Parts: sequence; C-alpha cells; structure tokens
Amino acid sequence: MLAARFRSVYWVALASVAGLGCYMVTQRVAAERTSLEKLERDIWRTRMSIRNLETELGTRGSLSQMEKWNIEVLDLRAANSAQFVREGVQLASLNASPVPGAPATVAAVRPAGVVQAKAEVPRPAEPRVEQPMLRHANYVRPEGERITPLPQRVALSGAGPLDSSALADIGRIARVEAGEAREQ
Amino acid sequence: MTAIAAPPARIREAASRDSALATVHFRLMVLMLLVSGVVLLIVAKLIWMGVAAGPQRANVVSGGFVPARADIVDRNGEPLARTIDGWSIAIHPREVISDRRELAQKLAALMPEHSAAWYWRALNSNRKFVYLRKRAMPELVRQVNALGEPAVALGREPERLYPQGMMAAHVLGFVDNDSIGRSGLELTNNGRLTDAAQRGEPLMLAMDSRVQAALESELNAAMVKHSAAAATGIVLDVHTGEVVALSSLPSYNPNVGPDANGVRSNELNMATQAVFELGSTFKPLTIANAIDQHVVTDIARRYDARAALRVGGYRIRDDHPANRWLNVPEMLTLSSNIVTAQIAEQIGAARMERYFRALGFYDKAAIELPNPRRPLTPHFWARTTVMTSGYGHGIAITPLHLANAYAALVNGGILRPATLLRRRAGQVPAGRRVIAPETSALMRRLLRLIVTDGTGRRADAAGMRVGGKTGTADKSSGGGYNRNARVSTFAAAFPMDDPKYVVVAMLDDPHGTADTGGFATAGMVAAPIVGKVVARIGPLLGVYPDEARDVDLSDLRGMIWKPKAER
Repeated sequence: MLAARFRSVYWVALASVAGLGCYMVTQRVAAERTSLEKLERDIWRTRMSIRNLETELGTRGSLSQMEKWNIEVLDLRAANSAQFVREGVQLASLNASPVPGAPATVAAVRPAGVVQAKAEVPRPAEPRVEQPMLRHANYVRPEGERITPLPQRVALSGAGPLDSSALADIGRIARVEAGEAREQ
Repeated sequence: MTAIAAPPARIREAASRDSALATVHFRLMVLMLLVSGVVLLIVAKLIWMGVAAGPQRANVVSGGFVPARADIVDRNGEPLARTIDGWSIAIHPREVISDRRELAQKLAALMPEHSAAWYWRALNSNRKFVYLRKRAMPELVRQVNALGEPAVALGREPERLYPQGMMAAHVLGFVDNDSIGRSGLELTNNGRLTDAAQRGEPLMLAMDSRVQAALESELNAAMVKHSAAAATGIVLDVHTGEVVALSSLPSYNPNVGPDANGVRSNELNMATQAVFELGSTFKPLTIANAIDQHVVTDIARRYDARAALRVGGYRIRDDHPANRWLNVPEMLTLSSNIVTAQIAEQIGAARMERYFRALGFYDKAAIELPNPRRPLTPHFWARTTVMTSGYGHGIAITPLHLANAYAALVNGGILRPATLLRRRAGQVPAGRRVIAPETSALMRRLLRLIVTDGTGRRADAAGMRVGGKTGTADKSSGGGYNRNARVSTFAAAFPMDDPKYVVVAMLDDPHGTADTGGFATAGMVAAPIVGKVVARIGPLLGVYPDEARDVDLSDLRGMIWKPKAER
C-alpha cells in the first residue's frame, strides 16, 4: 500500500539517479578530454622546444664551425686512401708482422706536434700559431746522443698470432699431439 | 419593488471589475506564457547544444607542427633553412612619454646600426608604428625593455634562420622582412614553401651539406691562396642530374639583412648568373663530337702542330708548343689548341652549332635558381669562330652548363636537366642522347689519361680514379683579351671506371704562388682543388678510394710519344 503510494516518488528518484549518473559520465569524459588536450598541448610544446633546441644546436655546430674546430683545435684531417680498409685480408694484415717470426719494428707514433717541437728547441720563445690548441701529450727530445732510439715492439704484434714464440709454441703442441696420436 | 437593493451604478461597477480582473488574468497568462516560452526556448537550445554539437577542440592541438614557411633540408634531412620565432623591437612614436632626445641616444647606444639622429627622427615622426630592429637577440630585447619606455613594443615574429650561415647562400637565397623569398630557392619556390597544404613537409634538396661544406672550404682556401677574385664549384650526380653541391664565392650571410643602403654584396651567383669562356675544358667535348661525326675515325692519327696556325689576322698557338705531329691522346694531354682547331674546322660550323645546341649551350641553364644567365654564343660562324670555339674561346657559358655537359660526356651520353631538388628513383627524367655510348666510354679513358699523364696530374686523388680536363682562358675585357687575367677551370668526374659525380672548380683571376712556380694555369691552381675535394667527398658519397683499381690505359699510353731518355 505504502509502496504503491510512493511508486511515483521512486520513479522520479530512479530517473534522477540515472540522469545524474549519465551526467557524471559526461563530466568524466569532458574531464578526460580536457586532460588529453592538455597532454597534446604539452606534446606540441615539447616538439616546439625540441625543434628550437635542434635549431640552436645546428646553428652553434654548423659545418663551418666544425671544420674550424677540426683544423684549429683537434688537428683532424680527412682520411687518406691508405686509411680505408677494403677487405678482411687487408684488415688482418694490419695486425701481423711484415715477415712471420721477425720482430716488428715500428716508428714511434708521434703526433704532428712533436716534430715541430724538436725543431723549436733552440728558440722556445717563438710562438707557433699553426699548432693545434689541443695536442697529444708529448715531450721534447733532448739534443744529441743522450737518448738512443731503441727499436720498439708494439705490444699487439708481440702477442700476435705469427711471431717467433707463437710459431715455436705451435710447433711444440703439434709435436706433442703427433706423439699422442702415435701412442693411441 | 425592493428587489433591487444595490443601485444600478454599483452593479455596473462590479461587472466592470470582473471583466477588468479577467483582462488582468489574461494578460498575466500571456506574459507567463511568453516568459516560459522563452525559458523553454533557452532550455531547448541548451539541450540542443549539449546533444547536437560535437566536442569543441582547440585548433592548436593537432599533434604536428606546421611552420609559417616550410623548412628547407638537405638530402639527409639536415635543416638548411627554418622559420623560428624571433624578437622584433618597434616603437609607437605618438605614445612616447620619456624624453625623446635621451631615449634616442640610449637606443643608438643599444642598436648602433642607426645614428641617434635617426632614432630622434623616428621618435618625432607622426607614424603610429616604426620598426627599430627585426631579428633582435633576446639579450638586446632585455636591455631595450629595461629602458622602461611603455611606447616600445617588443613582439615575436616568424623569422627565417639559416643554421649553416654563409654555406650555400646562393642556392638557398634569402627572404625579405615580410617573409617573401627574394633570391635563390626561397624566391623560385616561394609558392611551394608558403602553400598551406605543403608547408608542413620540408623542401628536400639534392644537396649534401657535408659535400657542400667540403667544396666551399677547399674553394675558399684556394681562392685565398691564389688571391683570386672569385671561385665557383659544382658537384653534380651524373646519372640523375642532381646538384649535390654548388658554391659561388665570395658569398654572403643570408641571416643578415641588407646594409643601410639596402644593398647586399656578393649576391651574384657565379655558377649560374655569370658566363665565362671556359677554354680547354671544351676540348674533350669537341673530340667527342668529332668521333661521333666520324671526323676522327682513328685517335692514333696525327695532326700537324709544328707551328702556330694563321687564320685571317688571328694566330692560334699552343701554350706549351710540342713542335711536332700530335695524335688525339697527345693533343688532350698536352692541351694543344692547334690540333683542336684543325679538328673543329673539319667538323664544320653546322655540326658544331648543332652539337652545342644539343648540349644546351644556346639556352639558359635549366635550374631552380632565379635569373640564370643566357650563354654568349656565336651568331655568325666564321672560320675563326669554328676553330676557336673548339677549344672554348668565342663561346661563353656558365660553369653549370659545363658541369652538365661533362655529366653527359661521361655517363654514356645522356643529357639531363640539372636540378637542386631531390629526385627520387622514379623521378629521374629520361634525358636525351647527345653523345654515342661508345664515344662516352672512350672519353672516360681519355679524361683519366689527362689526369695520369697530362695537365691534370694535381687532381689525381689517390685511389679515386679522377679524370678531367684543365682549361685556362684569358679573360676578355673590352673586346680583346687580357693576358694577365685568366679564368682557370678544372672539369672532372670520378671514379672513371664507373663515373658517378662530376666536379667542376673554377677560379676567376688567380695568381701563382711559390709552390705553383708562379703559374696560375688551371693545372696548377684549379686541379688541386678538385683533387682535394674528391678525396674528401668521395667516401661521403659512397665512393671509396681503392689504389688497386684503375682504368686500363695501356693502349692510350702507348700512343703518347716520349723522348728516348724517358722510355
């Protein structure tokens, strides 16, 4: 009886709850959309600043500036033809001694600056502008015979696969293996 | 008779009151209906707006960024021109409140490109708005702002920036204050760059900025070393006609506007807007023509070069006379004018003209740059004209024409229009045949021979198989030739076993130095540029030096006579 009387009230309540629910969903969607837009605007702004920073970096590091640094500061040159390796055999040959078994002698690796430094020992006060500002650490060779240049072994070629001790090792192992094979 | 208690006047009164009340009610009802109608209308409209209208989205939020003017990038996507938001400084002269004279002096101290008097005039002008500086640095903007004058207007405006500065300035060009292209590609492609539909996509050039930088650096070094008036260089892809690098020195900085007089120096593009008699670089072209026309059927045949040729009142002589009979390989390696003149005469005027027309020497260079110069070509082919044009005198073309002709000479004989824009695989035009493929194959070997055994030795970059021809021409001045001023050119291609790129280097009025023995000939001043450029750009373009490879020249070398001592 009571329920029947209040039926219309229930209906109204139900309808308003449903309406409110729908409204809440709409609000929720609108809020999400707003945050999405904010995110997209952030992305856009970030892209803009990436672009601006890229432009600034490109302008500061323009090719002419790079070339200036390469020549004046780092003393870099374009690679010459001998520095290009065309095949595997050539690459492997870089690591081997010219004659198997013979000790590899190499000239001391000197940066460009050392040779000039040797010439300027008698008159160290003279400024040399063509030298790069950034150089490898080097030392000035004393004059005369106080230091005799010794043939230097490059560490890599000493441990290389084809020097004399390695060949001797290979021969010894081969003999041992041959002996083992005979015993079996 | 007592029925009527109220006086009739009152009855009438009551009746009229009722009707008045009804009227009021009626009016109220109408008013209420109107109000509720309006309310209903508003509610209906609100509902309609809520239901029917889609989500309103901000215009800026589109994910991508569309610049006001399209970027220009090189073939690797490296930016060469971009539009950024720059600062501008302007003033509203009528609204100035501080002391004008003092303000003018402060502005002149901050922006010294104009005098204090100029600023004072600007501040007293009756204009509403005057630009004081566009492209202002943020530091300057802060200082101007610190002056505290409310009439100063600081604004952000789109500004064209060329990140590489002076590099490729003649190719890119520049824009004016209203962002309208005024030179170079900015002018010729203005429509494409500002088109709303296309400007989101950058304009991609065929240029490789690393190659361009290498070319400009070597050209500049040579120009300074030999005190030349100007230098030009072109690197052209022989198979597609793409201009990989194009430089004209001295150059200008497109980031900097014109000076106070509105003048911009060095605006002339020597590669497309100036013509030169390019001298002996024409000889390989003439020989190719002669072989195609069956004028030269045997390159071992000898021509008399014992004495200078007398044609009319004109003497054709060699710079380094051999004083003997020369065959074609010798003629090219020694660069003999006398022999070339004889061969050109045998080809004849009609066939020379037809050939030069086919090579495009009678037309403006087809390139996307403004005001290309039309070559100076002979109108009347006298006997001397035929002979001298065979070795590049009496005909003046742009360096770009020469590069394009050399591309056809070495690529199998197909001439394609050059372009500054990137050509994708399917976009390369078919071109038209100007030289027979067999002739082109022979010319490649002859060009290589000139570099290994002839005047072009200084261009021989190790392992790069360079082939090319020197050309030293006296500069024409006032109807005659100035023997003290010359144009030294070297036109080359590499690698000669499978040519991929043509390199042309030209110095205008170079002077000899100690290491060239005082000579300013092309072999001494222009060939080394090509050698250095090729050694630098080869690996960048995928051509690696290989000293174990070369063109087989043994048969051609056998034709070159050597004195007994050298044999």
